Amino acid sequence: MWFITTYQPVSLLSLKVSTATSTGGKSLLLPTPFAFKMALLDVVIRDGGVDLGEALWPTICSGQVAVRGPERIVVNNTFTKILKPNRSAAYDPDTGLFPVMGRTIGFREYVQWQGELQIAFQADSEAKDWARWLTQIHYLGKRGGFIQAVAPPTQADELPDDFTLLTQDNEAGFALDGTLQVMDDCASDVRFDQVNIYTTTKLRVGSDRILRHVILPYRMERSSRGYTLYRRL
Amino acid sequence: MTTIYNLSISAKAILNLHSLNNEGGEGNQTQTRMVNIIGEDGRMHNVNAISGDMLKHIQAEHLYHISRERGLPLCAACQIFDANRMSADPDFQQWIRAEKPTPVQVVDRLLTCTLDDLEGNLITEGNQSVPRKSVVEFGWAVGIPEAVTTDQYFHVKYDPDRREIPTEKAERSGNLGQAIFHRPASSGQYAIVCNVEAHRIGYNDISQKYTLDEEERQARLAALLESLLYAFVQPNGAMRNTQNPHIVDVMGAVAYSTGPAPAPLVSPLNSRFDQQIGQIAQALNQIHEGRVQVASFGSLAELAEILQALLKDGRPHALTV
Repeated sequence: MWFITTYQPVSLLSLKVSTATSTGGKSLLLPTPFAFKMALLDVVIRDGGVDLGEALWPTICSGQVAVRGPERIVVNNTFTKILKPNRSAAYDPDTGLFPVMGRTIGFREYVQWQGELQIAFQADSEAKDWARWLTQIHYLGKRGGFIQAVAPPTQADELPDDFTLLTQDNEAGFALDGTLQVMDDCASDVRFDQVNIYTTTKLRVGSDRILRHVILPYRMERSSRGYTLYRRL
Repeated sequence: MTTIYNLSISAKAILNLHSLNNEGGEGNQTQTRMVNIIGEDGRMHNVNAISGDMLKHIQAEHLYHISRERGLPLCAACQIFDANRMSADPDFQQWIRAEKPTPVQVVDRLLTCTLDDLEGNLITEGNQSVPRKSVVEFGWAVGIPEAVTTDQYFHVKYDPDRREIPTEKAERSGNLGQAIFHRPASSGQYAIVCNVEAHRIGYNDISQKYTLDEEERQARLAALLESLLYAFVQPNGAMRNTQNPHIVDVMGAVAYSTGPAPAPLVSPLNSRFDQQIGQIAQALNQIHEGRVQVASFGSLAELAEILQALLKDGRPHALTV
């Protein structure tokens, strides 16, 4: 059963690609399966506690995710002030503090969607609260990248044709003038303690956090120093 | 008494002749922050914007003053509004090195400071990587296409004796001569969005326990809501010494949920945003047991009344632990 939730963009989003650094924050156009599954796990834990999150993690981890993106997407390039760890921080006698983070600037991309984003999630087990949890996801990527579910999710047995499945390799072909994105997902055997950000268990890129090359049905329409505009095919 | 789990504000504000957020400068020309967005008409617009980081800085500064005035606990770094927050506190650093605390203990300690609790932090000292996620979140404030304009204005730092231009580098560094420069000013309607996760005040996300009693949590929520209101009343961004914004009007909606449910947030870039917030609240109430409430405001005074009522009567929702 697919749960299809429609989200409206509220603010500009920044969902850094997995290879981005703190000074070079390139952003993806649409949420990845990994980002979506982490957001869903987060609301499940907030709603029902860690035990419920751990119990449902195998279902979330192996769930299928597909998207139907907005009509147009603009990526804004900008520089912002950031704090970066300063490993050689020395005691400041004027303030009596250790300035462990130094002020610097970093490149960031912020994405604006024109139109709604639909995310389809297929879980292989019954859980009556998926609808409630899916509507509680309110941001993706960097905090402040707000989205808003506009209604309870609809249910469908088959994935509608205009969705792009992100959790399987596309063998049916792709749009030649589409846009390539490297999207991350969880490997099928990733354990809860590996995605728990408060443990030291490693989540290795490539084997646990797998990278998939996805051609999104978007064509670059215009670009300049400050922005790139994409339109859905 | 109103229990608040989540609270959001969607506001359309008219700000005139401001330069609250700038990206940098080239020569003597300051470049204000501009973003490209697609409007409701499907066309791309280059509009002035204020980053969420700047809005949060404005709110955090108000919270700092309120906390000091009310005697809410602050760590040594937050007592002087240091951006590093508790990470820069020598006692905290000493404790991390000597005790080698667990992440639960680190977050418990962060929660002792009002600013670290409400605004968040990331502890990297001692090979740790322990985040405290912010309770309050801001999106970008974006100019509404066709309703915002930006221009550059010519200014002079006048020197009556301007014929005597110093030739020595050392003398020029004093910046004593006449100087011309260009400054931006923007005016128009802006879409502002923010969200407060009230249930997380004093809550350790790892141990899933509250470290503060109900009274302390309520005091922090009241301070947070008051600082949010002040951020609208007095937006302390950049260049206010000569370009303090004219705040002409603010309208929109405050939404809040009384239990686990999202407070709907729709961008005022959508011209029917207030109507849609009501519709979304209605739809969400079907699956969230009527927990979502919406209060519209048509002016800054009405927003003040709504927030005033909530900060007097509101209590942060407590998760079952």
